[in-house]
Amino acid sequence: MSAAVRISPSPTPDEAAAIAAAVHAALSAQGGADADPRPAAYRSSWRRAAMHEGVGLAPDQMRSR
Amino acid sequence: MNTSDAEKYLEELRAEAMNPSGDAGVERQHARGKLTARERIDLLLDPGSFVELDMFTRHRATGFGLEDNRPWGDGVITGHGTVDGRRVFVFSQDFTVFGGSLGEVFAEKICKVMDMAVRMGCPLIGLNDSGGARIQEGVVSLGGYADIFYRNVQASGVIPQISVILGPCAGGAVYSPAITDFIFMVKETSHMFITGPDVIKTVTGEDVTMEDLGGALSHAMKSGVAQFAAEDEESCLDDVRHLLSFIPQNNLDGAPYEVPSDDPERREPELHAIVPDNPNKPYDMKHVIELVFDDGEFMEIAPLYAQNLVIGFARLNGHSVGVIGNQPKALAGVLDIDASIKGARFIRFCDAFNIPIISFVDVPGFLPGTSQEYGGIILHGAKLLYAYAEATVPKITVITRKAYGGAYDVMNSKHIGADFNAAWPSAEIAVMGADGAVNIIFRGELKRVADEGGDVEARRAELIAEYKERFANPYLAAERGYVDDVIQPEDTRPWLVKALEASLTKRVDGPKRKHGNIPL
Repeated sequence: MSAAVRISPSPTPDEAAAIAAAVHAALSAQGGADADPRPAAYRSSWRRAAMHEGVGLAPDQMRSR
Repeated sequence: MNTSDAEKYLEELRAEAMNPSGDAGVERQHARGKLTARERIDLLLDPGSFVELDMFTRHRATGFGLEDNRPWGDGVITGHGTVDGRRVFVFSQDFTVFGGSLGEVFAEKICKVMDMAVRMGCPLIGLNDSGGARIQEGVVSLGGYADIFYRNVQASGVIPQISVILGPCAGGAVYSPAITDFIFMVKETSHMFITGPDVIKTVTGEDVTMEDLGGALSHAMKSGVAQFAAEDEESCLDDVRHLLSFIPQNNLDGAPYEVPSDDPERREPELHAIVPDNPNKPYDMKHVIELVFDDGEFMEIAPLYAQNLVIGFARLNGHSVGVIGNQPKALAGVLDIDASIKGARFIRFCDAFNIPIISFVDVPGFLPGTSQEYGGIILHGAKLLYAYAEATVPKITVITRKAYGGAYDVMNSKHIGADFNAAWPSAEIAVMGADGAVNIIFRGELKRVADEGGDVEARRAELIAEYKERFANPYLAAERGYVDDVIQPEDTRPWLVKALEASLTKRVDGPKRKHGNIPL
């Protein structure tokens, strides 16, 4: 987390870790440095469904496997 | 035994198992020009990533003195590790132990690592160096082979399976590699055959050497059994690593993506003049491929076999793709039996593992002749057609020049399910070439000119020119939407990138069935 960020009152170590994880997730979702570098199509539910259907499984069947 | 002694004993056992045939065995293996099973694993996998399984297995056979010789590991090393950080499962047959022969425990170890690879959804790589069945174990050895074959079939199309032949692989043992997706061999030291030179000499009287019969070049050039023939084991295993970079871990993963450095909008001026004006003059389709794909990189598969059809892997704006192209430099790019089989098998691999297929078409038709007809070109050509039509991955076609007759239909035409098709202005999409068409359509007129004492060749040339103007172009196909666009050759890369990225979310849910009946 950036040193410029101040959280008051000071969080416990557990709270600080949780806040850091949430900020990291938010930055990743916005295309931060650790975001998935693949084009959006690779995260498409439609594409995933196509791959499941390609092996004869409906997407909902995959979730239960 | 106290704890300290037990730990010491373990280390002693481990040291023994690491080198079951001793230094002499290693020296003999090196003297044959081959690496040891462990050296091969070290070259294949990322340094320090190998985790061995079943190091302390031993055979349970008795008779023929086997009970007195029970080396740790039983002659095959199994486990898992990573290649460029991606998990793979591996077995490596150890020729220094019983000549790498396969017995009950040996087979059980291979089956176990195959089962694990399927459960974990990871590629399986088999390093083969075996004298065959362990004869002393009798039918149990044969059962072991069959257990492996069965698993090869069950895993086919689920995880990539790669066979690396680094020594002998003979008799029934060849059928495991044959079922896998790719076979790598090394010149001079790898041999595959059903029956060896001695049996052939006895049965048929033929004289043939091991290398001519089942060497790397024989299988890479003549039989098509092997896709790769390397100069040495190091480069062979390096090729395996390179191949893995293009293929997914399993059939539910997408093909690997690498952040590209090549500009997706790069126009390639050299493509502008690559097709000669004379339609009978060849050019190199591999050069077209290298100019279009990322950084000019193309990993050709089976480069020595059926050279009239080029197949291989490349990347397009970072996406891994399978590439197929008719090769005008070999047999004018005509489709024959070997090319059809080669292309069909590649397409089915790509389709099984979600790898988009990009085809470059310059095909004058199917090869005529009795050898082709008697050899079953009808059935074999249908394999290519079937494979293209069956595939549900993104399918994109660029027609660079000829697309004649039935071969036009077969080479990923719109009619058999291609997603995006483009033609260069030089494309000739027609039932046949102009010369042949004029000879048939205007046979009567040409005969009349001849009968009247006219200049037949001059009239024929006029008719050919008229035919070319009217039919030997891409615009009749474009009028009907059989090609989506006619593009300048230099725009091929940007057009392909857009076509590929538009089809990455392609979804086709065909009719349910147990399996189709491809004309095998």
